[in-house]
Amino acid sequence: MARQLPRIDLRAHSLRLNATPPVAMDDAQGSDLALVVSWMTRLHLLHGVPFNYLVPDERMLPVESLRFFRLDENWMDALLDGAYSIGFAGVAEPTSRAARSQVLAAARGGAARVRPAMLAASPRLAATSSENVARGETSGGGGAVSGFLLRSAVVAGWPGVEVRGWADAAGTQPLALLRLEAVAPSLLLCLFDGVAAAVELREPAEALHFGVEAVDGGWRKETRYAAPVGDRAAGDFTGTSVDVPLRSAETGVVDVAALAAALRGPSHGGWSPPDGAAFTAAEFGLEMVEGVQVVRFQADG
Amino acid sequence: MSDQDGTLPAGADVTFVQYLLPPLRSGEVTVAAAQVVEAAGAAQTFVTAQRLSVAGARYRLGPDDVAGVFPPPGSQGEFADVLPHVVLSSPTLPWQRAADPAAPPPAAGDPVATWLAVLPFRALDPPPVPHAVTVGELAPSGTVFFPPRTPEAGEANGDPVTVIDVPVDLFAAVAPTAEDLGWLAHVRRVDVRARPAGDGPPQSDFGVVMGNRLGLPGQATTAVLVSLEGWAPYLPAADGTPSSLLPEQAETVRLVVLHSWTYSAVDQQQTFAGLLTAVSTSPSGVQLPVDGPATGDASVDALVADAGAMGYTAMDHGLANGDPTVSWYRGPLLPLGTPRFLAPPHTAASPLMRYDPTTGMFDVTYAAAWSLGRLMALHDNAFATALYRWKLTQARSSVEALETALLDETLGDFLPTAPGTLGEARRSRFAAAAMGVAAPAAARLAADSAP
Repeated sequence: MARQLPRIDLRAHSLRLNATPPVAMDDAQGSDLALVVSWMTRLHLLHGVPFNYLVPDERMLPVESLRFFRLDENWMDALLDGAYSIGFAGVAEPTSRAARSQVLAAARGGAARVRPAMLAASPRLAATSSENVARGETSGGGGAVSGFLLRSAVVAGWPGVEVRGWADAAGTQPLALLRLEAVAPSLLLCLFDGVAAAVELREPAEALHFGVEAVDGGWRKETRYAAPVGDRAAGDFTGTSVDVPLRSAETGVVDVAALAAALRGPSHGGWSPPDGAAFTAAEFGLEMVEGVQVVRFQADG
Repeated sequence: MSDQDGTLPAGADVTFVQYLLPPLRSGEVTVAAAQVVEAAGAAQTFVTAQRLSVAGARYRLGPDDVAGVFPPPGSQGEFADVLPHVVLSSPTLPWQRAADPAAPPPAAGDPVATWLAVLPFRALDPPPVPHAVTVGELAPSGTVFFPPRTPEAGEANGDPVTVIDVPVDLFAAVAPTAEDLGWLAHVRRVDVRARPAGDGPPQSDFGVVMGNRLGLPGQATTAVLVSLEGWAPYLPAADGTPSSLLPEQAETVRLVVLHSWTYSAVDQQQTFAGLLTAVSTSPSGVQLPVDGPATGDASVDALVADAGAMGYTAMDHGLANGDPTVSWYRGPLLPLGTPRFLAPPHTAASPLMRYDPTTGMFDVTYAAAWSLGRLMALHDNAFATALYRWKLTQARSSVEALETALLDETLGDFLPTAPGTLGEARRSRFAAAAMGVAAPAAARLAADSAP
């Protein structure tokens, strides 16, 4: 039976090739795709981007300044597009376009998981990520990313500085951190998943320490309620203070036993421990704790 | 713009506990047992005693025993009003030994003296220099005083120990009194719910030992965690007079150093809140301040101000033909939000150059970003290779998929079975025959489609 083979219509098949869906993505750990996506995810978080591309002029970020920003998604698109443009393998454009958008979408989506994954890998910090979940942090703005740059001696002096951001000025909608890193000794880069309206910088919790206050050449200590009194919780300030007795002003050695007696006694302005409440080294420790300093900034506009 | 407060951190659940006494103090313990046996009207008492040795840190601490110190080692800050402290991993450590071994067991609620003390020495004291001796040398000799000690099991006279020799006057001036020792240590219990758990339950309790002396602004302070085991009788009185029990000839006292670190107290302005409230937040965005000289032309001034407010900077720009010009650039950190309008992919940076007809200047922002991305990708060899390999795999699979489909369609009529269900032997024969046709065709397809 003689039969003629149909001619292959190249044009038609070209369209078909274009319509071929990209092959299943093998994104197993260590695969080429996984490497590509994770590299692009890091790029999405501005890792490795030269700083003069971020801040082209030093006057934009003077010494001791804090600047808020919104991340330009177009800029990021162009950056990632440029990175993806290498290694052209000569396949029909729409096919590679479908594959391309899958890779870039994976990189974009991965950006929000980098920090939690990093925290989970560090047992000491895993608390933070679970805490984030507990605090109900959400992606605030449909892919919008905002943040701030802080150039200050604070960054070097308080390496564990804690940052929190909110989508509203009142501080009711916490935002997840995408990246928080001291990119230089005195430069802190912070990216939020969403548009931050208020940002709080807090002394690290390990700075919960003991101290006194300098007043008029002497030393005083603000007193706290060592036990709940009325509607005041233990640890609240009573609004009064006591003189800190020193063994000698010259050496600055505190007469601890006398200070404990002063803090315990009813002499210090109106409150005394409830009946039966002991005043021990524990209460003394609580009284001596200095507050952790907190500074809150609000983004304009 | 900013405010501050100084409360306990919200959510930081910290409980202070007076003390956690170990079931047995470290050192030698004698367990005595007596049994009275009565039989046939006669009673006999059997007595036995067993000596135990409770091991515990004495003259040195392990690397993990100190969980943290404050102020941080080597740090500078407003520490002149700070009493330094040491956080210990073992919550019972401050009470594992006794400053006064002869003291009776405490009643509930009474202060329990710790055997550890943090002694802050100021630079002008000057701080005693730590040096190494051996355990066997921990004894009074000449002008150096050391309280009587009992050797313990597991100690060798040759074991090294770090000590400081403190002049008697300085010791009397800075050492805590025996009474102070009951106030200077406590247990800090943190909230474990927010803590990670590894192989075991997370640690919730930490021993904390507080110093008793303030630093001096402008001076380095060396804080030393020392052992005061057996020192209670030799500690100074509350007014700083040396103990009368110190021998006449003693000029220095020898203290065992368990840990030490140095920090500097600086100007009072250098607080966390002080620094942060002083930072400039105007303008609030990453933008050039508008402080240049006015050009005299209001419309130009307004244009410059606008460009600045949008985050633009005018940059020198060498055009492709070599002509120098000035173009707009702005980084990705904008002072304001902008919609997403770029439609990649682009095959080169040039289409991303944007021309601003009002100024006659180019906006090279996105072209620069695109080039940067490409350069970064090329710079990273591993990434570039992986991306190329992956793209190649994608291209091959697409062509192969089309090839199979073409074969099935074209040769399906020859086969008794339905397309796509070819027997393996026949399929490979047909495939080999058809490959000569389809493979060049596919290659041409790819070439055609390439821009």
